[in-house]
Amino acid sequence: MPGNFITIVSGLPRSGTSLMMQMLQAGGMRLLTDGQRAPDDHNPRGYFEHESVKHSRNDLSWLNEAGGKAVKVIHLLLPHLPTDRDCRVIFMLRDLQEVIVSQRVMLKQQGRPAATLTDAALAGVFEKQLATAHQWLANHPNFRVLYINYRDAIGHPLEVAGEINRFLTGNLRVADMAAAVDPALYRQRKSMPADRS
Amino acid sequence: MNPSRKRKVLLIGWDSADWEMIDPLLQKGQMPALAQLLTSGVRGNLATIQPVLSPMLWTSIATGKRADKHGICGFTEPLPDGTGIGPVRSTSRKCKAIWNILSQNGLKSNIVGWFATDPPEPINGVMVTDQFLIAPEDKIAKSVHPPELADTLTALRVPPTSIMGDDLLAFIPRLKEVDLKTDKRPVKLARRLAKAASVQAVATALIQSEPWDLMAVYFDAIDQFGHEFMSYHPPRMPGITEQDFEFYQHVMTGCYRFHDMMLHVLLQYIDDQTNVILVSDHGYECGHRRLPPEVAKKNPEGCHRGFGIACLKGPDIKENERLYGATILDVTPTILALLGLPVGGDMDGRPWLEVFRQEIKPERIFGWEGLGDSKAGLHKSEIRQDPAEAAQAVAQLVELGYIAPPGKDVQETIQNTIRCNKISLVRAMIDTPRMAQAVPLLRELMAEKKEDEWCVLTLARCLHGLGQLKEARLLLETTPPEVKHSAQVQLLLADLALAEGNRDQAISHVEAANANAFSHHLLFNQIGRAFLQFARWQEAADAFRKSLETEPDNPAALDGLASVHLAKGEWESAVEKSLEAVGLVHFYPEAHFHLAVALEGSGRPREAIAAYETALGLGYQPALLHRHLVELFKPIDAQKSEEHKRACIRLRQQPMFRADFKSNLAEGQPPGA
Repeated sequence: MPGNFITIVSGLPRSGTSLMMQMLQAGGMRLLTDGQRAPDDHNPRGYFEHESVKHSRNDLSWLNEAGGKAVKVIHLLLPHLPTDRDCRVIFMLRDLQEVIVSQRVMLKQQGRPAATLTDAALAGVFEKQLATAHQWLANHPNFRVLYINYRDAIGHPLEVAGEINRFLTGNLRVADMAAAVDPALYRQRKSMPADRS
Repeated sequence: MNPSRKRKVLLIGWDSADWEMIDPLLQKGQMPALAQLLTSGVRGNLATIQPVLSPMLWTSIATGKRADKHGICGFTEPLPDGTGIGPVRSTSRKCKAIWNILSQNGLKSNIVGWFATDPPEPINGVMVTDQFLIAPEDKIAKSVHPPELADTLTALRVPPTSIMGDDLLAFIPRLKEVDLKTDKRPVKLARRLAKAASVQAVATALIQSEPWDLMAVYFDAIDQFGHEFMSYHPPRMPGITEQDFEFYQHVMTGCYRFHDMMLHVLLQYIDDQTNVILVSDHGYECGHRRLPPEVAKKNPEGCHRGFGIACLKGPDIKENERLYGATILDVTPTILALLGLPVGGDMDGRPWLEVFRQEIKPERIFGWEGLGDSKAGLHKSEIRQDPAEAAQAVAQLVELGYIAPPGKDVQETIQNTIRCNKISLVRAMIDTPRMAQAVPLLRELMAEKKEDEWCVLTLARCLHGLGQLKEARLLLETTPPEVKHSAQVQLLLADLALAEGNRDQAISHVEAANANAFSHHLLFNQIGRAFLQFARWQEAADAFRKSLETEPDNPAALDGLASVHLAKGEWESAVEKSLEAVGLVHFYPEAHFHLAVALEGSGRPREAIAAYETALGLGYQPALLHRHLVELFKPIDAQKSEEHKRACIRLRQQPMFRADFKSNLAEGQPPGA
């Protein structure tokens, strides 16, 4: 199993962070979750979240339990983390249009208000947020980062699982990780992924 | 100008400075430094723009653009991470400021204390932001560019505790009689004095130690002092106790004299290659039009006057001249012209070429945006963002359940801030007028709060302006009876009735408005204008005169009176009033047209041609103007007459644009303001 560093799965909501948590769990990694957020139509296999993490602006006590485990932290909360601990970040990337469509569908089905911004304006803000997060990560050497494209994870799970295993320097079960990927759950897509080359 | 000499510009901003306060002090010899500037320089009124909110205005001064282009729409804005609100930030500005343009042209700027400059942009020169003056010790370094100057400059900050009782005596001569345990006003004064002294200390250091082509220094103290102490300025206002008056009546004059002393010091450090520009963003009521103290506290914007000050002196500036028709939007174009740089065609102001010693024709480019950005000292693109959009995006992530929501109070504060800034943006748009752009924003505002009276009336005005009469009427029908009978709504209904061809009904609405009008110059202007439409000259003139009684610096009322004189064939009086109107606001196409008609009527064809051409240049009904110019040029220049004739033919099929400045003045403020 990986060492005592904290594995952080990050990215925009609906960019594949739950999928990545599933892969890590299937590979044998311990997760920091509290199971409070139940599975639903949008994440039938669960969200793999920890409620305390959402309060990271004010409370980082969850970090005490996070060593050697994987935890989901939204991109906006990364700069609130302390910079003196070893962290490995798997940062999920997904086409912004797909992310926005997926977010809007989810909010609509839950009867919750979405931003009244146009998709282009929302994409513009998310781009800036992501750029800020990437820059923050680049500025803090204790945070080693692996960027994973959601389409690659769906289209080439075995390769991606191998890459993650190397990044985490552990003995994850790569085949099980790949088997955890269900392409049927890739619903808001612009077009089929091209071959990885 | 001699291009071989390296020119510099010292720009000093005195928030709220007003000639009505300054002139009596000049007469008494109590502002010698400013007097020195004026005796061999240029002075003028500087028209402000709507809404009269300092962060928007000082950003307009620094960009030459209105808020819809520069994006700064209030004092505060949501924080990008959605955790609350904070002072408006430089990252929210959507266009280049003068210091960016200078940077990309290899010129250096030292900027001190300017509104909405934090975090500091990495410009060619020094940027000491507005937050530097109030930042806690551990954050000061983040308010200075380059950061290595932070320590030196921090040592120059004047802490309020260092202001001693003796320092306040010039403002409060009877300070020893004030009970400082219960009366905190002297402490507030000390705090503001310390801030102004900090600006001065930093500016005095930088003006000597750091090379510059533009040195821009902003002082907010006159405005801050005004909001606290103008009520005590003589003559004594109703509601002010005799003791308070006795204690604090000298604060405002002391404040102006203090600024004069600071000006004197800064002027010691300039050379004969430096042009000095001193401006304020608006004036401040200091006489009988002051709001009662309790009203002023609730409506600080209502304390402001529409005209600030402009004063110029230097090697490229004429001596002992007056500047007419200037607005705050002109400052950046003027600095660019003085430094030999092109003026952006997307800027809303004009350079004050008429007060330049030598006639020049500055180069114009389409705009500075997107040109030479890598050298402009701009923030990185990822941190430049619209704060309202950023807050909305964060709110969406909260709704998705990925971040804990901020407290309810915080959410409300963020929403209120976004709303206030959106209203300010709408007000900026309808000041131009850009009704079509304002309508979607007004609909958004109404979707959030259906009963907002200002939104309803403003949307109705916009819809009327856009010819959507039915929708405008429907909207007004939804207002409660007391609102419907108000003068503003009656005037709107009159406009609608007139547009629908119902003249009698329109007249009865105007009469109702006149009967219900409260004393406000903008309302009287609207009533006067309405009577003009029905050729009821005497009632129109009465309304405009009432308007001038409440606000003498009032271009719309002056132009209204000019219209009355024109209708009566009183040409010379019409010329006089029109000249007064355009003297106050140059960008007033309709007044230039009225001036031209009056000059033509009084038998001065060449002057009339110049006035028609000015109105044409400002976009006023080109077909109509060309027709006048065809006739006027016929006896003196047949070729030009033909040119205007051809222009007439070209325009015949095009829809007419009615530059309706007067109604925009009225629409620039919420009802009751």
